[in-house]
Amino acid sequence: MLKIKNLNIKSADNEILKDVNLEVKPGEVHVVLGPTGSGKSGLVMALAGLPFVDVDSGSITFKSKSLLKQSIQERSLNGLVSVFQHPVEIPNTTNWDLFCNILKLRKDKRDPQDLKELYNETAESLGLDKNHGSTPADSDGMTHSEAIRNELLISFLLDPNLLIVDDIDEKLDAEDKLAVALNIKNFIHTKRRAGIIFSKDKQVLELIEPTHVHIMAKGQLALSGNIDILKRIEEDGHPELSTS
Amino acid sequence: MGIQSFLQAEKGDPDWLFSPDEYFGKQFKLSEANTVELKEGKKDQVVLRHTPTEKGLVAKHLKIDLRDNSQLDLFVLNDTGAKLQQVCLYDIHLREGSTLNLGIFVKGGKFNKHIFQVELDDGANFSNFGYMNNNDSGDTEVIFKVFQKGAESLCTQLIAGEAGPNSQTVYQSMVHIDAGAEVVETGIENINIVTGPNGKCYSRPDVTSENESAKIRYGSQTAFIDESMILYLNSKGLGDTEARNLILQGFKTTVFNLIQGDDLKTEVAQMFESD
Repeated sequence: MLKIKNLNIKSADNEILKDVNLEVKPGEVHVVLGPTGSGKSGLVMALAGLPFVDVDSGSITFKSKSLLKQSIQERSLNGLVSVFQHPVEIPNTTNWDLFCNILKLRKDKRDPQDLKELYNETAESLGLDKNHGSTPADSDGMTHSEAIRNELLISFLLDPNLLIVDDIDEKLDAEDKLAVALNIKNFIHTKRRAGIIFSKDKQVLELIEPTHVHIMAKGQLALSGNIDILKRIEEDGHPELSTS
Repeated sequence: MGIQSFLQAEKGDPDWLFSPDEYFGKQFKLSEANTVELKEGKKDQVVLRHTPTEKGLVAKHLKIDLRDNSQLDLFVLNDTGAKLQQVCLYDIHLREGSTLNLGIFVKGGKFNKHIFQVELDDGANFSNFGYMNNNDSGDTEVIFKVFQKGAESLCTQLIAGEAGPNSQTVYQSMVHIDAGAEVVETGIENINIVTGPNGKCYSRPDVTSENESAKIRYGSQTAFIDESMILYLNSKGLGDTEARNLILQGFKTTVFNLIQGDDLKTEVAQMFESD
């Protein structure tokens, strides 16, 4: 589904990623653990197509087509949806209206009214208020935690083939982290979707029950394997996780 | 045109209020003059729909006289062509205990200026909200000159402006509270959004009070469409134009939600729908 080959990216002449290789097949759940500055967000930006990083060399293909030639919009419409650390809030619109407008404008064939029940169920499972749909989707209307959970809610309902999640648990308290991790796990495993989940929190990544685990450090995937890697880090630590 | 011409007009205006002679019969030809008079204790609702197409310079004059304890809900829907050059002057007198709820919605024009001169007697209430935009590389202006002469009078405003590429909007509200006007309240707010390159939104809320008992609040803010919002909506599958329209829709909602009546709300929303 997704193939990253020898990817090198820069931001303002700073090397962010060095020769990153990664393959994600349908149904696989990859988690990437790494400290601040290790290159996690850089990889998310490159996958999402955000203009804050420049791809220096290498390739990314998604569903056998070059991702790098696609706009941000095309990537999303083709089934790659990114969940960001700092979702932007749209003033003076409610969450439900925002969702309906997004569906309508991306020409989604599903009728929003048919999704109302699923919307409410998903909101409830994310710990959002039962009236969440009618609350404003702006900074006055939501806390950071609610904004993150709202971002997940909308992303889940877009029903992507590949969900990219960028370190969203960073500023959440323990209870919210748990809710977020379990909801990501449920979405991906129940719907048999693929995912790449980035985090600094090993416990969050364990909860997601990944099929593949990668350690990112200094712009490289320093180690890849299965969930045993996370257990080994708990017992022995891992030098690659050091930023020094 | 725009704010400069308005400020120049101020200099030759010793009596503070605009003189109709400023525009009528000189630069602009008076094409319409109407009077609305509401008798004591009466209530009415009026919707003025203007879709003028004149190509020359035109001026229109509407005189509104609300007698004691009367109430008028007035909606002005002015949807003009890109070549129109007009000045609409509204002379309004709210007598004791009367109320004017004004919705002013102005779209487009090469030069499209609406001046409201309002005199408030004791206990009069001037409540207004509105939306103006210009996407015609022109200038749309809504100007208020409110004279709170009477005690316990009330003036509230919420006006939003939207300027597209090479276009501008001007909001100005000059409220003067007379020395003898005890316990009056004034609240004016202007919010603007610039949606294209070289778009400009001028804002000048201006309250002068000669009475210390007055309660006054005013505010103004102008923003550009936030590129981070567009990128975010791109990532949810929306194109740039769709994203801009969605953000703009949210901005409009602030004012449109104040419109009472679904039919009128729909009509106004359609009037300002993005091309």
